[in-house]
Amino acid sequence: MMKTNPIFDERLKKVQAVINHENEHVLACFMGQAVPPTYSDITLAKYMSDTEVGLKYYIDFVNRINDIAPVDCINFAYPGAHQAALSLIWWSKVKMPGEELGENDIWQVDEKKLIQDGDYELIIKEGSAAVMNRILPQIIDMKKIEQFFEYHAKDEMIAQQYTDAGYPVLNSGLICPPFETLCGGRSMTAFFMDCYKKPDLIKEAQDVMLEEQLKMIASRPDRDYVIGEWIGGWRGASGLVSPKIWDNLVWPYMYKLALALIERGITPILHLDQNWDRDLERFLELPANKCIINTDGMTDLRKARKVLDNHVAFMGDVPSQMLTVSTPDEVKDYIRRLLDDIGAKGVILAAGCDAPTGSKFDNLVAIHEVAQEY
Amino acid sequence: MNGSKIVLFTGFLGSGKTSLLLRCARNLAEIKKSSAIIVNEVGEIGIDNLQMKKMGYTVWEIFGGCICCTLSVSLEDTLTQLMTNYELDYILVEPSGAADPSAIYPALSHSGFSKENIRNVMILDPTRIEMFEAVLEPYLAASVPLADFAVINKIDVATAVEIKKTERVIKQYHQDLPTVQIDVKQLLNEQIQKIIGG
Ligand SMILES: Nc1nc2c(ncn2[C@@H]2O[C@H](COP(=O)(O)OP(=O)(O)OP(=O)(O)O)[C@@H](O)[C@H]2O)c(=O)[nH]1
Ligand SMILES: [Mg+2]
Repeated sequence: MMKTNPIFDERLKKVQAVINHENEHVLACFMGQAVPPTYSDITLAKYMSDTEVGLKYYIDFVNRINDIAPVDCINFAYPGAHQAALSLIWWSKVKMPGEELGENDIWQVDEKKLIQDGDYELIIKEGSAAVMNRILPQIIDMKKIEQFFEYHAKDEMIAQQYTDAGYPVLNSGLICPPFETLCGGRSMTAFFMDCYKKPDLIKEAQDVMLEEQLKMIASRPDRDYVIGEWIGGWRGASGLVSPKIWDNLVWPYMYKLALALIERGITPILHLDQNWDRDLERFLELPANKCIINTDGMTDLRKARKVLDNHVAFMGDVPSQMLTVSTPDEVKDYIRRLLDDIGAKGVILAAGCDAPTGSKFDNLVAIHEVAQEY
Repeated sequence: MNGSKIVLFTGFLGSGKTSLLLRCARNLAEIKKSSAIIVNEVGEIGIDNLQMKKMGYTVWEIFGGCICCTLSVSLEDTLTQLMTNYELDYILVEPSGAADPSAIYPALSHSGFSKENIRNVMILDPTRIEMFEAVLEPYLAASVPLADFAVINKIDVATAVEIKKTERVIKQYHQDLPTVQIDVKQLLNEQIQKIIGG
């Protein structure tokens, strides 16, 4: 059991209220996993590789913002064992700072065609592990996968540190829809060609993968500190793929994964990169007051509010570019205009997608400062 | 302000953006125009930094951090640095081929480039046109209207039917868009002039 404290409890209540659309005020959420080293005496490489030190720097950094204006919650915790996490969900090599990249270069996905011809059939016949276990050693040192599991074995202890610091962490896991995993492992160009030439085969493979995920979600032990989990969508954005692909290969999977999380009392946080305007109505299929959609400035939240009203909570959507190049006043202005239009009900302010390493400190603070006005 | 012109080489992944950009860069070097290149790091044909340096170019690679952000956030920073430190006739930019290019316009205008100083050259690979229409229709609908010029490439390997279809698709989304058909390996200087514009 977690030991809580009054500040944490109060913020957790606010988070629950916002998901239920019962909040009076807007919430401001910290998002920027890779930013702390930019403003600390540590390289990004060291911050990423030494998880104990990295976690400490991360919380210190959030505290620095919180000292100026309240950080009501955190989107993602410190990205410990991040390379393994990304490799596991996306089946792509991730180049890391201090390894393939310079000490302070942000990690970078190096997408190659690793899913070979015949692999969809293999997934259908033997399950996704048959393919993943072949791909993983090609993209990451398997020791790091072990370290990933060791790191996450301590999740409860880590969660306690955020609780002690007073911050509810919204996302405690990554759920990757099969469409995205296959796209990463096959590489985008080849995968979209497959979607054109053999959609039925992909669907069959995705169904197997979905079944595995649903079983995994249903059978996991309860973790009382978990608020929500990330369900990612980027290659499957409505702004990119045709309705036929979206209806068939993207949405049904996101939807079922979301329902499975809800079944376990976990809030699905649908991380929607790029533009999802065309399909906003479909989010009405999700149960009301149970989900958050996390947009990046490309989806029109004004339209989303009209279409979805108070059905799902909104998290976002300060465009990440703004954080690096705009002024704090511009950031505040962007947020004020948004909130004046859509109101504060069910709204969590945060950087769209993620805050880049080059984000100005004052711009990050601006999100939390302006939140106090609403 | 700056007199540089930005040429964007847009188009879906693997369409031939880098190949065409490099040909244009070589041509600009020959006619003694100063230019810089900004590329998105991912791509089948990397840019040979050393070779470009010999031609007098510096290549800036822009990195995206998040696995899902295909849009690079450092474009604007890079542009600002370039314009502060160099006198450039052209800045050749290859945005990521994985996302709708509309997202980069705010960064360009915020760095002081007006629509007249931006030329969006969209490369359409006719050999994959059927896939684009079936799978990536929203991508076409978002990106073709933004183009100032279209290039149908790979005519050395595409069929006449595919080329026709590509012309039709371009028309469908952008009625009067000027278009050339090329094989990048046989590109003529006049074609390059047309592509880059005046
Ligand atoms: N036959 C033929 N091949 C071409 C032509 N233009 C480009 N290619 C080939 O198309 C492939 C992709 O070309 P790139 O220039 O890397 O395309 P890109 O759009 O930069 O690709 P990404 O950066 O990965 O999005 C390469 O194998 C090129 O050699 C052409 O006119 N004819
Ligand atoms: Mg390229």
